[in-house]
Formats: sequence, structure tokens, C-alpha cells
Amino acid sequence: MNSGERNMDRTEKNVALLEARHLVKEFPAGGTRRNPQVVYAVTDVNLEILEGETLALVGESGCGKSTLGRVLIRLLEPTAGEILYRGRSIVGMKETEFAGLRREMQIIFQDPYASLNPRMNVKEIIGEPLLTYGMKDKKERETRVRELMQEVGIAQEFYNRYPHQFSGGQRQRIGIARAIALNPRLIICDEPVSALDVSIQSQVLNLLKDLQERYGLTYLFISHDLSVVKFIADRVCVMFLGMICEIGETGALYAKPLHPYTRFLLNAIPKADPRLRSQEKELLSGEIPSPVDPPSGCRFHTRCPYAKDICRQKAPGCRKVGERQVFCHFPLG
Amino acid sequence: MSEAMVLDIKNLQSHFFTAKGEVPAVDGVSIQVPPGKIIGIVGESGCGKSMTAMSVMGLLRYPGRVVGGSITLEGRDITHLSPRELSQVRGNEISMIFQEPMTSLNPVYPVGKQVREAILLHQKVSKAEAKARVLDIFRSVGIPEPEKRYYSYPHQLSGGLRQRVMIGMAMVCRPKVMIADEPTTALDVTIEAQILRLMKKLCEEQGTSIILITHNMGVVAEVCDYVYVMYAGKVMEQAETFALFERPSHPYTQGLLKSIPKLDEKAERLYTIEGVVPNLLHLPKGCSFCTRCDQAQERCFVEKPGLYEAVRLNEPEVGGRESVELNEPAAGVRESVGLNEMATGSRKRAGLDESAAGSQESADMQGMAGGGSRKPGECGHAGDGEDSQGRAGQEKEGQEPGSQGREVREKAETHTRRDSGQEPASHGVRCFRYESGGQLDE
Ligand SMILES: Nc1ncnc2c1ncn2[C@@H]1O[C@H](COP(=O)(O)OP(=O)(O)O)[C@@H](O)[C@H]1O
Ligand SMILES: Nc1ncnc2c1ncn2[C@@H]1O[C@H](COP(=O)(O)OP(=O)(O)O)[C@@H](O)[C@H]1O
Ligand code: SF4
Ligand code: SF4
Ligand SMILES: [Mg+2]
Ligand SMILES: [Mg+2]
Repeated sequence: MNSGERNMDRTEKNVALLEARHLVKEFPAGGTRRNPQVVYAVTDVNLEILEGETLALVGESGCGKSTLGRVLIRLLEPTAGEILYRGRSIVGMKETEFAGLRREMQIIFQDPYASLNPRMNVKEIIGEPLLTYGMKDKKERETRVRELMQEVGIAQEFYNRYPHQFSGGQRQRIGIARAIALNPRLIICDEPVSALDVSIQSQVLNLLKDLQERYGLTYLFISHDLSVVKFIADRVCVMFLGMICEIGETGALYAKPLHPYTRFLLNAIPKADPRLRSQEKELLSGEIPSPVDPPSGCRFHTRCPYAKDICRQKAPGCRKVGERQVFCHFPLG
Repeated sequence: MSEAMVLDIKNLQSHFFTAKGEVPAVDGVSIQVPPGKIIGIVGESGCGKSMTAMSVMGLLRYPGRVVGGSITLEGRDITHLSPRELSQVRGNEISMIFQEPMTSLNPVYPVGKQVREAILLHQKVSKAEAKARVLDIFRSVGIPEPEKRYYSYPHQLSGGLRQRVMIGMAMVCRPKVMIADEPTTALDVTIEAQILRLMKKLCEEQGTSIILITHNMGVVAEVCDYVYVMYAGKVMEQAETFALFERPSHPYTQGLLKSIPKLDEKAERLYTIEGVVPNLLHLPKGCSFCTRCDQAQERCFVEKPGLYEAVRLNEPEVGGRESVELNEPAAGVRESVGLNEMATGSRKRAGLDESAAGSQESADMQGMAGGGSRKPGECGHAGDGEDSQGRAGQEKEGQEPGSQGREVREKAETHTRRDSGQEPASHGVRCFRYESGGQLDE
């Protein structure tokens, strides 16, 4: 109950912690020198992450969620566009200047095993960022590491253990401890529970919520699981093939999606209630197009049953419907 | 009864003989597969779903071995067939598909040719006829432009199309049973929905029975006729699908269902099953779920429960969508009531996760088990709005509303019969709380 109210307070202030403007990220994808191919991973994204909120980034694999998440905290340099962090432009900011901000932005990955150095033990993994940022004193570091272990629910006797000695859920807890070690403001959570079993998933989701409440963290929560997103997010941003489809407040967006893709996505989720089974359920046909050769106009037009000529010709701009932003020529009524 | 089953797995035991000891990966599993039905096996990773499937297929690899039980396919005992006899059965009468089709497709051959080879291997037809059949199959599994796709290499296809190819290949000989091990886990949700619909269609049109292995309760609810919930190598609960979701009875099933974030409600916290799956080498002496069970009694730590008929207990059913009225006291099951909500809170057993949770935890359990009786309303879980909505819809469908909790022994037959097919399993639960229902296994 508490966090809901507090979140609302925080987001009501509508202070953007991070802002993306016309953000573009392209990757070279081979081809010939004359005719180089390009992966259009993120195209013209405009987005605000509000102080203290959880903004979810959802969409099917390859739609650019991880790329966008990484670009936003400059783990990847954008091809074009602007990123404002607390009002300051961080694209092209000198490394010396950015270093001070970097500790405020952390990331947690899907596969905690791949993201933890197998040769480092818990003490070193969690202690590393502390050392990097100048906590040279061993005793002081140990105290802080133990405090963080306590915080994320790792028993103290595991202080000297290595990642392979832990279960997936515990490894994710270690990854989280490492991410909060430097008191960040923003954490990019890239599919943090996707590899976990449901009983472990709920433990980690609760932990993330607790930490957010305790430290006033802001999350960009990347996920392809709309049930998880419903639980954790204040607002949701739906992506398709590098473009934003729809951004809005979680409850309202689920209750009444305005973009056709959002509706299909919500429809497709298998619901844990056989009474909701329906043979006639409207399914999306076809496959996800390639980001190397994305469809013209609205990138969803090859799968969209409502597509008209203009959808093939012109990328839809942003329409505001209340607090909702929809990128569609013919939003659902 | 069991003659009518296409596949009848009885008390299957498959162990891995490792340097550290004997791992009972499949520990007395019985599953019955009627013709033309989809049977779900659900459970968290490591609970033995895949090894059950591999045992049935005769594909268990060293150091794993079937050490007990029987597997009967269409009345024929296939438990101890020679490798040659087995390879005849595989592909012809029973086939299997996997989570990642890339592992079963040869990367250097066009997919059409691979399916054609499968046809030529099993049927006496010319190459041209075989190719025509491949194209038919591709069409029936919804592969667009089959002529073009015939010549595609696996890596040129999307995950969804590759899975369609695999399903097509598995259906070549119109097998009696197809085992699908997490077939949609690697796919996006819009593609998953397509594949699930395809499997349902094949099952209905060709009468193939499907064993669908998944960790996703949503997938189970969407397509399965019957469900087996596994935990640590054992079936913990089995039921017709509607019955399972209407009245999940095993504490583990209840916990699983409560842990899933719901789409139609906004909860502040998720229910959690504390701790992790126990190490199979150090299983608890009693019920394998006792280290995590919020309803465990003293006895659960020392004795192993059998599989009992899921009678309706006269107490609020915490996991179900309805809360049953408390009318009569039921003997022997009262001690544990009251534990549920304590676990719902933020009770943390940090650090105990990994340990095989011994006496410390059991003391913990008993300490909490004190509170005896309580009012039925008290255990309602979060999201009452959703709950009443769900109930209204249910009553409309003519299923029994909660008021019938009066009947102490209400068998699950009503649900299974409704489905008109055979009845492979009554609603069974491996938990002492249901002992009064009578034992179903030996
Ligand atoms: N380093 C890279 N080089 C080339 N292409 C990439 C790279 N990283 C991602 N991509 C491509 O960009 C697209 C978006 O990828 P990603 O952001 O990982 O999607 P998501 O996280 O939504 O699954 C994909 O087509 C992917 O193949
Ligand atoms: N090669 C192996 N050696 C030892 N134990 C194994 C081996 N393969 C599987 N197991 C055991 O079998 C158990 C069940 O595995 P599996 O059937 O693959 O689980 P699931 O498919 O439900 O995730 C595992 O928990 C593991 O302990
Ligand atoms: S812009 Fe056109 S193609 Fe795109 S989602 Fe809207 S209606 Fe469909
Ligand atoms: S027998 Fe039932 S109550 Fe006892 S520990 Fe096992 S699941 Fe829980
Ligand atoms: Mg990603
Ligand atoms: Mg498996």
C-alpha cells in the first residue's frame, strides 16, 4: 500500500530523471562495402523516465529493449539523438565528467551467471564497485558488503563463496547487491527475472520493490512478460521493431490498450485460468519482420489487421490521449 | 480402464548414478495418457519433467537409467525394448520435440530435405511422393510459402517457423503420442499462441495425444486437458485442468498459482514460496515439499505422504479462486490452518535458501503452527475484486459455487466426466492433509 502511494507522489511531481529525444541506435550488419547493411535497432525514440517510478519496456525479442536500455545509460553510444540526465545532456559528455554520474546509473542483467565473474567470490563481486569508487579501507568495505548482503537476503556465511555455488535466484540477489552498492538513482533491470522459476521470480520481484521503496530508486524494467510488468510497473512503454507503440499508466494501458499491437500482445498471453480459454481468441498472424529491412511507414503494418495505405507510407507520429501516448494512425477507440 | 490409455506410465523410476550418489530424478511417476488428449506436466526446473520424457522415449543417457516401473504404449510394454526395437517405436508411434529446435535440426541441410528423409526412413514411398508429403505437412503446420521454405536452412528460419518444422517432422508418421518438451518457452508470446493453437489443432484433427511439458501455468490452462504437477521427481497433484485451477489442493500447486503475478489485479506484494527446490541427493526424510510448505505438520518431516484423493477439506482453500465455507470440522487437518497468511507477509528466511533446511526450519514451522481456528474470511488473498468477478463468471457456467463445501468427500469426477473422454486420473494429491480421501497409489 505504502509504495503505491509514494510512487504516486513521486510520479505526480513528474520530474524526469532521464529523458531521451529522437534517440537512434543502428548497428552495422555486414553486407558489402557499397551496400552496407544496417540493423535499425532503435529508431527515433522519445521517452521520459520519471524520478522514483518504474517504467517498463516491453516487446518481443529483438525489438530493441536491451539496446535502448544500454544506450540510455551510455553503455552504448547512440547513433543520433539526445539524452538528458537530470536535465544535463550526457551524450558526448567527457568521460571525466560522466564518471561522476555513472555511479548513479546501474544495470542488472537477465542471466546473473553470465554477468558475474566466476573467479570472484561474493566479497569481491559486491566489493568491486566500492573499491573502484575509492573505498580503499578493507574493514569499511567488508562492513558495507555485509550490509548489502543482508539487504538482498544473502546469508552472511556465504561471504566467501563463488557464483557457481549459488542458485539462480541467489545469483540474481548478488547482482542486485552489486548494483545498489554505490547508492544509484537509476537501475536498468534487463529481464532480471526471466530466467527464474516462478517461485523464485516472486521473491526477487518483491525484493526489487522493497529496495525501490527503501531507497527511492528509479527503475527501467525491461521484460517480455506482461504479467510481471503488471505487478512491478507504474507506467509501460510498448515497443515493436525499434519503435515505440504506446506509453501509458499501467492499469489504464492494460484495461484499454490504444495501439493494435498492445492489444494483440495482451491477448496472446496464456492466462492461468482455463475459463478464459477461447478458441476464437484473435491471434496475430505472421512473423516479426527483420530490423535490417524494416517495413516502411508504421513498422507494424505487415501484421496489423487495421493497416491502410497511409500506414505503409508514413510513420505515425505521437498522439496524446490523456496521459497516454500512442503512435498509430488509427488508434483503437 | 488402463487398456483405453494410449500411454500408461506406472511408477516410473529413473536414477542418475553420479560420483556424489544416486540421484532419484524421476521418483515413482505414474501418468496416464488417453487418446486425443493433451496432458500437461508442469513444475519448476529440475523437478524431473524432461527426464520423465526421456525415459519414455528410451533416450536417457549415462549415468541415467530407468530402475523401476513400466511404460506401456498401446498395450505393449516398451520399458525394456532393445535399442533397435525402440528406434522403431520412436518416430512411428511416439515422437518428441524440444525447446530449441536448432539442437535437433541439422544446420547444413535444407529443412524440407530433413523432413523428407524422416518420411523415407519410415515409409515406403518414392522421393517425389515424399516431397509432396513434406509440402502437405508444411501447409498443415502453417508454414507460409512451403515450396520456398523447403529449401531453407534452419538458421534462415525464425524460431517459430523452426518449431513448426519440428512439429511437422514429429507428425510425419501420425504418431499416437507426441511429447513436446517446453516447445514454446523460447518463443515470443504472439508466436507461442500460434504454436499452441497448432498443437491443439493437430491433437483434435489427427487424434494424436500430446504430452506437453511446461513450467508455465498459463500454457497449461490454455491447452491441456489433464495436468500433472511435479516437484522433486514426484507427481504432487494430478487433475483434470478445470478441476486443478478451480480447486488447487496441494500446498505446492497453491503456492505456484499464487506466486504468478495476475494480469487482472494490482498486488502490492507477491506471494512467495520461500526457499528453493531441495537437492535431490539430500531430500528431506518425509514429504519432499516439507522444507518449503507453509502447512507442514510435524509428521510431514518424517513420513512420506502417498497420493490421496483430493477431497474437499473443510477449511478455507487458500489457493483456489473461491473460498469454501467452513461448515463442519474435519478431523486431523486443523493444526496447519493459519499458516498461510504468515507466509504471505515478508517473512524472510534469508540464507536458508540453499541449505537442505533441517531442524531449524521445522522448528520454525511448528512455532508458527500454533494458531488453531480462524474465520473463513481471514484467508482471502489480495485482489478480492478479481475474485468475486471470477466467481460470478463461474456460476454462470453452471459449475458449483463455493456453497457446496458442505460435502466432505466430493470427488473430482464431475469435472472429468464433463469432458466426455476417458478419465485418466482422478484428482490426486500427494499430501497428508488429504489422507481422509483414501490412497490412490500403492
Ligand atoms: N552489437 C550488436 N550488433 C549488431 N546487432 C545488434 C547488436 N546488439 C543488438 N543487435 C540487434 O539489434 C536488435 C535489437 O536487439 P535487442 O536490443 O537485444 O532486442 P531485445 O532486447 O528487445 O530482445 C536485434 O535485431 C539485434 O539482433
Ligand atoms: N546428467 C545428469 N547427472 C546427474 N543428475 C542429472 C543429470 N541430468 C539430470 N539430472 C537430475 O535430474 C533432475 C531432473 O532433471 P530434468 O528432468 O531435466 O528437470 P526439468 O526438465 O523438470 O527441468 C535434475 O534436478 C538433476 O538433478
Ligand atoms: S499505424 Fe496503421 S499499421 Fe500501424 S498500428 Fe496503426 S493502424 Fe496498424
Ligand atoms: S504432506 Fe502436505 S502439508 Fe505436509 S509438508 Fe507435504 S505438502 Fe505440506
Ligand atoms: Mg534483451
Ligand atoms: Mg526440462
